[in-house]
Amino acid sequence: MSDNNHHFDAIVVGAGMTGAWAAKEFCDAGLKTLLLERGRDVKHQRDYPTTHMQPWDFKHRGRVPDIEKEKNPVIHRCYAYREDAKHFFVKDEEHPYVQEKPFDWIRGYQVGGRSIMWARQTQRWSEFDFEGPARDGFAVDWPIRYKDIDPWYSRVEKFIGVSGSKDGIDTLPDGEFLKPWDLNCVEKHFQKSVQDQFTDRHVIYGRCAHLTEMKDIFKKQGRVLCQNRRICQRGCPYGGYFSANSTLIPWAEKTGNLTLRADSVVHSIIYDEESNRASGVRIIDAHSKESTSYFAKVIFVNAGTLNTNLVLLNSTSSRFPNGLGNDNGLLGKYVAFHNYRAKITAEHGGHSNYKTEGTRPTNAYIPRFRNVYKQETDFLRGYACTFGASRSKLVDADGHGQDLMEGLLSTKKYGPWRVRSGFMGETIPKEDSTVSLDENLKDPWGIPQLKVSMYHDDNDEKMIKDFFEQYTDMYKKAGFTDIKTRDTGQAPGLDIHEMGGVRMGHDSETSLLNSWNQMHACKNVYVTDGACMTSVSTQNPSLTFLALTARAADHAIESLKKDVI
Amino acid sequence: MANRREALRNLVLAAAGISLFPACDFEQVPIYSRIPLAKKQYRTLEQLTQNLLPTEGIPVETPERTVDYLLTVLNDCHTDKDLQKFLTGFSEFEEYVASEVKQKLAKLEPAEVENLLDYLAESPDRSKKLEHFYDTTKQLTVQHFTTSEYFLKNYLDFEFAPARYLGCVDISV
Repeated sequence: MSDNNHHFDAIVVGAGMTGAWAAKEFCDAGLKTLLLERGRDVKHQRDYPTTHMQPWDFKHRGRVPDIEKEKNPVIHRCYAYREDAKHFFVKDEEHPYVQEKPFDWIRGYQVGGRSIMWARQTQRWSEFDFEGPARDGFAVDWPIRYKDIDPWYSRVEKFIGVSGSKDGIDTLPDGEFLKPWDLNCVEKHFQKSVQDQFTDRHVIYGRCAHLTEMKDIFKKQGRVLCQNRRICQRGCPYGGYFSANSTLIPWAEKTGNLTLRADSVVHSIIYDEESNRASGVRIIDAHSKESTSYFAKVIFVNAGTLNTNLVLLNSTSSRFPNGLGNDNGLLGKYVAFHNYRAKITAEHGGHSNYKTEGTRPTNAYIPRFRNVYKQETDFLRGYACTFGASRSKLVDADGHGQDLMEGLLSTKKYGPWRVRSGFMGETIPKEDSTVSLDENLKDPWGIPQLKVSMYHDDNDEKMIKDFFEQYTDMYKKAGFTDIKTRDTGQAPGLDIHEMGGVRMGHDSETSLLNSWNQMHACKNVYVTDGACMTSVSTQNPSLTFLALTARAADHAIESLKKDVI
Repeated sequence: MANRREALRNLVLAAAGISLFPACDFEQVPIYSRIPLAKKQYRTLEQLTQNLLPTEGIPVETPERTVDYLLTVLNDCHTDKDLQKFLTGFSEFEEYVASEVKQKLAKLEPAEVENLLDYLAESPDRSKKLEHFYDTTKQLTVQHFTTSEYFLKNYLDFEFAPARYLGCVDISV
């Protein structure tokens, strides 16, 4: 490869959702961009091998062999790790890491990353979320507020397509929405019950990154409307939901400015002592294990929250012996996640003459109502929840022989409506919640293994207790019966919302990144994936990562034009 | 001429063979690496799945036979411990058939099949492993049927790409 082929205007580390967004922005701006991905390439449509398979086509009808589960105890706990999509998930045994405390690290190493299998929920943050740490005295103050990111949310929503309803709720600002699907009759019943009995609680339609209306921008992307298949985790040949593969990478490739290099494990960022800038990226070929370096004026690190921490911690130099930009020793600290441990289910005896028809890739959503306007409980912050109602036909599988067959063929009547909520609690980033490099263990590419140490604390326990009490009350008031609460006891990680470690802040003493996601100590390196998050709030975070990325990419492009980075 | 006579003779013998041994089973049966079954045992399981859930006259089509679904899932998905439990239960089942039923399953009258299945499903005398064998066989047999295109489309209203969601459909009319 000639020397020219190793020099670019911009390098983006990680071809997941945020990395691909940054690459798209750079390519649109005419920058020659190298997009690096440690995993294999996954081309839209071509590389979705199970997307057209019917349920009966699967040899094991969706089940993953127990033997594979035994070999991969972490990944098999992920709800989406099934026969139809398991090829998109990292196997534990192939990519080891150290769990100082139990942590289920759910990863997707391929072009597109986890944007292929994500849950596609896209709720904006509000002012209450950005002001949280300062008001409640934890972590550090966010260097931005809602008004700073509002236009970037809009930019992202218009490009990716978000189905939603205008709700006018200050805790969950409205966005640029495509039309919503229906809430069903029981969800509407619960919505009304909550509205009648609580002034501060709202049951709304869960906003999701699916195309429910066609617009010119989606036609240009080559996408068509969502077909309500609800098998998104296999990859969607229609581009019915937003993924890096369907939307961003093909767009960037069309500009002619993108070089996509898959199978490239990033070892570290190269720091140039003379210019006080990062000069490039050192990669290791995933297969040959040969080391190569690439160079650029600006580098975006979007390897996925924990891997971004790993790359920066491993980027040592005489100027930065503890990792790139890590003058204050905070790199890898204050990581946090969403607490997903609590569930509640119940039965609804009403609406027995109604059913739903077709399917829908979202549910109802209840934004945070605890401690919003003032501190009112013995725990900090609060929780959002999903709410879903459905009913299925009763299948009689009693007996054997002709009786059994007659029972099965009498399947006609519907069972009662079942309702359920999943809790999404904000956890508090703490100094002793960390990721770091193991001093001895290396991965197959000779890179130190990541050591993860996160845990649920007393605040999380109190929040779960409150959720059980409040939702039991809300469910009872809606007339639901057979109410059951459940603490899954799961470790952090299964929420797949790990965040922080390279947090944004006002100054270089207390944070790693400034208000534009630039490293305080190395201005041509930006971090815009989940690692940049100062706090985690309750909303599914991908939309916020994308908006921050769009904002930071714009800043980088303008800074390059002005030659100030 | 001699060759022709010999050929005719062979043809006659072959025809006689067909009529003399009409039940001969020359068909190969699949091999499952973790389940060492003799052909006879395979046929026994095949017959049991058919007795458990008789599909004659029902237009159900599946990519594989029920017995092959059962054995594929057991072979590929189950742990060694589970599989051993199933196979021990199966041996007990074979012993029970040999000592109490004393006939091939395929030759049983409907009432005899019913008695056998009643024993497997409910008898307090059956061992835990026999119970596990029966429960697993039944569960996977039923699953094979209820995940078929026929059942999903005709009984569970399955649509692969419905392209709609209606949240409140009146079923009283």
